[in-house]
Amino acid sequence: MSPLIWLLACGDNTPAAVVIPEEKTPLSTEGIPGRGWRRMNVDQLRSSIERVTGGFGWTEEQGGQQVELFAALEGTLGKPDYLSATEEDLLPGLLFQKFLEDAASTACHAMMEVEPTRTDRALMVGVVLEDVPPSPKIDEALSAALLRFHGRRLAVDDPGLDPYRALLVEVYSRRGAMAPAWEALCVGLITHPDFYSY
Amino acid sequence: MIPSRRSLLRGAVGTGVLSAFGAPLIRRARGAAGETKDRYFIFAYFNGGWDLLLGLDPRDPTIFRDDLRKVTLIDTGYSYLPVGYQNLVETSVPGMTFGPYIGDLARHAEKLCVVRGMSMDTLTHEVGRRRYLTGRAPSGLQAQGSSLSTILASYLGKNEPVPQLSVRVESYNTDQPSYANAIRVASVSDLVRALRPGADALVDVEKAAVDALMYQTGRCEKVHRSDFFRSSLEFRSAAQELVALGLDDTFDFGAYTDEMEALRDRYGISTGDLTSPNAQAAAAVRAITSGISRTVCMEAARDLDTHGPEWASSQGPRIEGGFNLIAAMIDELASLPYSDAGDSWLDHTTIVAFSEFGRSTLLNSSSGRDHNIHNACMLVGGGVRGGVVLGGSSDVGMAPVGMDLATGITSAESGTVVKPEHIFRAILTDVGITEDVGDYRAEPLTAIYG
Repeated sequence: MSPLIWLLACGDNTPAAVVIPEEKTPLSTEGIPGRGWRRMNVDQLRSSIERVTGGFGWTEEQGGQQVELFAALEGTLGKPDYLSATEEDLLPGLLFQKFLEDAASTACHAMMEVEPTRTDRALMVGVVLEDVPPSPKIDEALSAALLRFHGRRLAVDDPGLDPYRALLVEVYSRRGAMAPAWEALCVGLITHPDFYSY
Repeated sequence: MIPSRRSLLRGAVGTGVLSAFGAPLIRRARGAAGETKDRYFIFAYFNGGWDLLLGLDPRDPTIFRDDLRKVTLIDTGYSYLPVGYQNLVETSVPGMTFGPYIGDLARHAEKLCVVRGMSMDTLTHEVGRRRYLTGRAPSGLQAQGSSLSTILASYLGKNEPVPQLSVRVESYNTDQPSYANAIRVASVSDLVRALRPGADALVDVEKAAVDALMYQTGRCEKVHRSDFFRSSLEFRSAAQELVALGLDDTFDFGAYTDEMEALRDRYGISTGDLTSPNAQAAAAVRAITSGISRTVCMEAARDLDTHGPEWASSQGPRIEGGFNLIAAMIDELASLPYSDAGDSWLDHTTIVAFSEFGRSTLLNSSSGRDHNIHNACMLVGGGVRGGVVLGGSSDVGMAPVGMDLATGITSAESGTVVKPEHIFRAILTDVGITEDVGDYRAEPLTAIYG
């Protein structure tokens, strides 16, 4: 597939030029035994959230200091201390889900503060807040988001995009604005098992 | 005010929150619970290996004198301790004597069941700890089987929002339903954060849309084929249900309310350290008596691995701190009515105090104590016989000695050397689970319950 390039007009809400990397020829899996899904560890998760959101993590101000909460909660999240535990607990358990949702909400909220106005967008690729569904541009942005967040390359007419499109439509129809819809999409993408498993 | 167990559960059901797959978290039931007693459990772990001579299994220094050390292989070491901590502590129960650091626990002697002369079959911390959690010898360092607290949560805790809570203690589940998994946190403040909505949590409309996204995803074939995906979504729903119950304030020990101030005074909680055993003890009682949890594992004392000269200054105060916390828990549980029949929460809650093993009976060249396979433990409340000492260690090197499992009387010739699994079988049998569900292959130490 050739690179897909969007170049849109300049302005305050100008979407950045976006390049979707060309898909490489998949490696042959013939003869390779399958394996079960594995959850990211805490370090991988922290890095991944920062990467996909364009630099936003899970932080909180405590006593005038910004505290990185994945680090503060690493004991509860099962990260080994090499005193009492040497292996990380990688169960996608209840506490993991709770704190993943907290992390996603905080990172996505912070990201959406700047996303509509920045040029190197992470989520609203090629669209502005005034774009509302149904819109081919939004479909393209959804396709790009699935590739960025989940590593899944879906065509704009792929049924796999339908649940994500439905999320945007639902929130927009109830709130009358796209910013909360994109923020909810961001949280949905990060809290989805496709994000934190490999 | 602590909500009653009944009102809490009624309120929880009233929220009507459902998992993604339609089953409310707090209603998931284990199949074969059968008829069981209404019991609750707190497992209080003394982390690092406790010195039994200073607490549960002392020796009279006038008999076990320094000049006999080569014969008895026991050095009480009491002469190295501070003034005021060099003698045994007598109790109101004849024959029940403790070491100098038993602390406030001595006040409750008539309620205590002390098991002495146990064997842990190991000198390795992880192995001893996991043996006492699971009742089974680990394979290498790898725990085998489920924790007793998990099994009890599985059989008794299906209606509690958090069947098993564990603060700074390992928990294992190899063969029990997932609802019995421990909510395992490193501190009480982490627990509060886990129960409280996130600072930037989505509002209802967005949240519902994300839930719908997950539900749609859950319907796809790929997800149904994968246990990982399915359990991920179930745990996500369970986490949301738990937050919806609004239990966070129950454990907010830093709050400046009269209730929390009284609790901080009772347990000596510092608002700046909610990882402390003090905060854990308060959380354990709150979790049980608020109807939140059926079993709680907590760390009553830590840093007990005193191989060096710090033994004389640190071991005693640290275990005394743990014993004092257990005494405070006993006091609070005994003060809280369980029903209108005049019984208290202590009548329904068993506290089990344990460590991975004891410490060597002779001081080493650094004036500390190393590891020893002998051990003891203490149980109180929930139908446990009070004012009794079962078994005993030998007067030469405090070696484990067999005992009659029905009476607790030592019998080196025909007795059974007690290990954690004998105690676990007794606990489960008393609860009403007579089958060997933990595959312990050991008879119950029925003398615990008389």
